Amino acid sequence: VKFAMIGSGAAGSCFAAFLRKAGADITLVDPYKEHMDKVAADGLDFTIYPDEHYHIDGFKTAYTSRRYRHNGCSHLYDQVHAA
Amino acid sequence: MDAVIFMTKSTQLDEAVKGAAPCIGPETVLVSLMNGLGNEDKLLKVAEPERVIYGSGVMGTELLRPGACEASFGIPGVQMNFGPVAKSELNDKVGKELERLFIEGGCETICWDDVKPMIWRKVIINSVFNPISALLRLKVKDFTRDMNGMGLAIATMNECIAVANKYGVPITTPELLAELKDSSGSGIQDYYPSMAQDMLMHQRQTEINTLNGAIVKYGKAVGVPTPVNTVITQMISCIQKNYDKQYKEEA
Repeated sequence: VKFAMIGSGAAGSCFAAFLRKAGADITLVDPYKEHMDKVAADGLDFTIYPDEHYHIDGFKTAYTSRRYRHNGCSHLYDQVHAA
Repeated sequence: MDAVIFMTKSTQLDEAVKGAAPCIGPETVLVSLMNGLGNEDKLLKVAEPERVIYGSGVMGTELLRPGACEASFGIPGVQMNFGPVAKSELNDKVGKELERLFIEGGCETICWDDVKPMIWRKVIINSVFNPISALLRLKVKDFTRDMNGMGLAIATMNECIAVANKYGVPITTPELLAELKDSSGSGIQDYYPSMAQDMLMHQRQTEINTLNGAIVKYGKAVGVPTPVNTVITQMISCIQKNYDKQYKEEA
């Protein structure tokens, strides 16, 4: 099953971390470009409070315009689609 | 995509669903794990009930910096509840797979046949404790120990429960209070809920419209009056539109 996570802020990223930790094929999508680029390049540092630390990689990522408003974001979803 | 999970702010969900059209095919299951009431209605605008799963998480989450996030299980036990809007092969396949992955990933999860009672309980609890904590600027434990604070909480809860009953969720205020005492103990007590954090610490837009605002709307639709929830919704809405104009003590 291929998953996309549309909206990968605090909650989306944590939920995706659990899923990917178990091996899910998942693409993160968020307007926060710095976060998406970091996850794509170096993976995600995931902490389960207080002291469980995991480094999780193998995510696909894409970013959207902040308000999902511009027609121009459809190519990003094509990117997701192709992933 | 086989499944598209939506975790945007509830105010951005409609646009996100529209924007995601290119990766939604005729067999794609849409999933909302966002807090609040009525998020599934927004998914049902573009997919039939046999392809929609909804639910929500219990844990707290934080984005620490780009590329780093943290989850905290405030209370032990099940952290994620979801289920299909309507039973179907597609929903079953995705629901079971999500449940398996979450559990294997370390997050206790249940995919329910009928998740509605869980959703309503969560919405009621959030509608009672979150805005009152934000408005009174008090932690949950501090306002529930005050006669007037607790009175306000009970009045809010009674209205929410009257609405929930009309939507086929048979609970009572004493039952919910007892459940709360059993399950969370001090867990829920000693912190500022997310709405109080949004309003007091970050001056952000809150999720009032998927909580008390939704209770008011759902109540109206079935003829249940919700004056307390209406006042709470109006107060939070007014505050969040006018953060820059609020009275501040001189430094």
